[in-house]
Amino acid sequence: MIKVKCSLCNKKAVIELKYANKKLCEKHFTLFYEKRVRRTIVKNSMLRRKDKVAVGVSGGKDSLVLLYLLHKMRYNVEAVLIDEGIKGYRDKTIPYVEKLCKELNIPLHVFSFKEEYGKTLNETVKKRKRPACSYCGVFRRSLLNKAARRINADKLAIGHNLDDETQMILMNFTRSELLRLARAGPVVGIVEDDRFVQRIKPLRECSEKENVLYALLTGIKYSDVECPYAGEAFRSTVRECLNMMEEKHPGTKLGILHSFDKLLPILKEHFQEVGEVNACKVCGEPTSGEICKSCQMKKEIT
Amino acid sequence: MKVEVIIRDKKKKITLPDNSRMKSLLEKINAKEEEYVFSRNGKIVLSDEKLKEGDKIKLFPVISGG
Repeated sequence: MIKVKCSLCNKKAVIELKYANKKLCEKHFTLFYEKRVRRTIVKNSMLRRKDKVAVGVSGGKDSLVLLYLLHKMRYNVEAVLIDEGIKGYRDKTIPYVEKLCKELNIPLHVFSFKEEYGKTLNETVKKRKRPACSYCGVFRRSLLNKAARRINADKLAIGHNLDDETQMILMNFTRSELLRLARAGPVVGIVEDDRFVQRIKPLRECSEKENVLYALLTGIKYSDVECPYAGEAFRSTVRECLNMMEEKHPGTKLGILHSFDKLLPILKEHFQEVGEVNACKVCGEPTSGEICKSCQMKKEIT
Repeated sequence: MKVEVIIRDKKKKITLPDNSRMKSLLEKINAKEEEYVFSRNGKIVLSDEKLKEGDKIKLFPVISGG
């Protein structure tokens, strides 16, 4: 039987990276993958050795790979998990997080919507005026920041991958949401404000497929249960479109990401946000207005 | 020949012509190559892999839903 060989040795290839014109075996893919994540961290000055890193974990492949890898790279990591209270979903993913944290001896901190906002997401959507993902996105982001601050983390690492990033870029570009784009990037958050914990995305150059493969090869057990609220129609269209382009023109996604990175300083300069960061009049969290988005939404659902 | 296909703990038997490759199986079950990592009898393989009678094929979905 003909076996497809690794481009770097005689072993059998487990992945074809068309964009890099390479086929790699288990060992060389693992090395290639880890080297790229390390390069992303260094290139974007994401971490210093002394940093305490809160890793936002969900139990899915991306966040668990991120936790595993930062731990392997000997960073001082602690896991933070946001329990939105989505029955049949979050309760099924949490055991995967607990298992990995136990194996690697990593502290795990769980913060819940119920405790913080008085309602689970399931309860929230009963009174909803907006799609569930709108509430969840705002509450999650806010709570992750609080969680990272409460455990005295210097950075908050999240498992956004190449697919998430390119979808976000194209969606914002298509909707002409350039201010949102200016606020995105490999490192997000205001350094000068103690209330913000900078968010970093070390996996932003790794595709979803590469993350799955890395998890399987390193034996990381993850949940692939789908969130019952997932499925934003526009994101699905953008995903399909990007996947089709990547298939026909390998390297499309990395090209979009790198072009965005080059444009980012220009966008940031153009959208230089004036005024100070205020403290929300209700909860004290940082906001550009008087009341933060999270408190505005909380009011909607009470 | 018949192979066993497992996706998210759901098993099914699929009949394919002898000497079929993984690619043909994916086409038959209408699965896009870029949306899965796949293993044959516990080993990760590429879509060029030739399949045999009784093989256990596992498909790991790439797209996460949440």
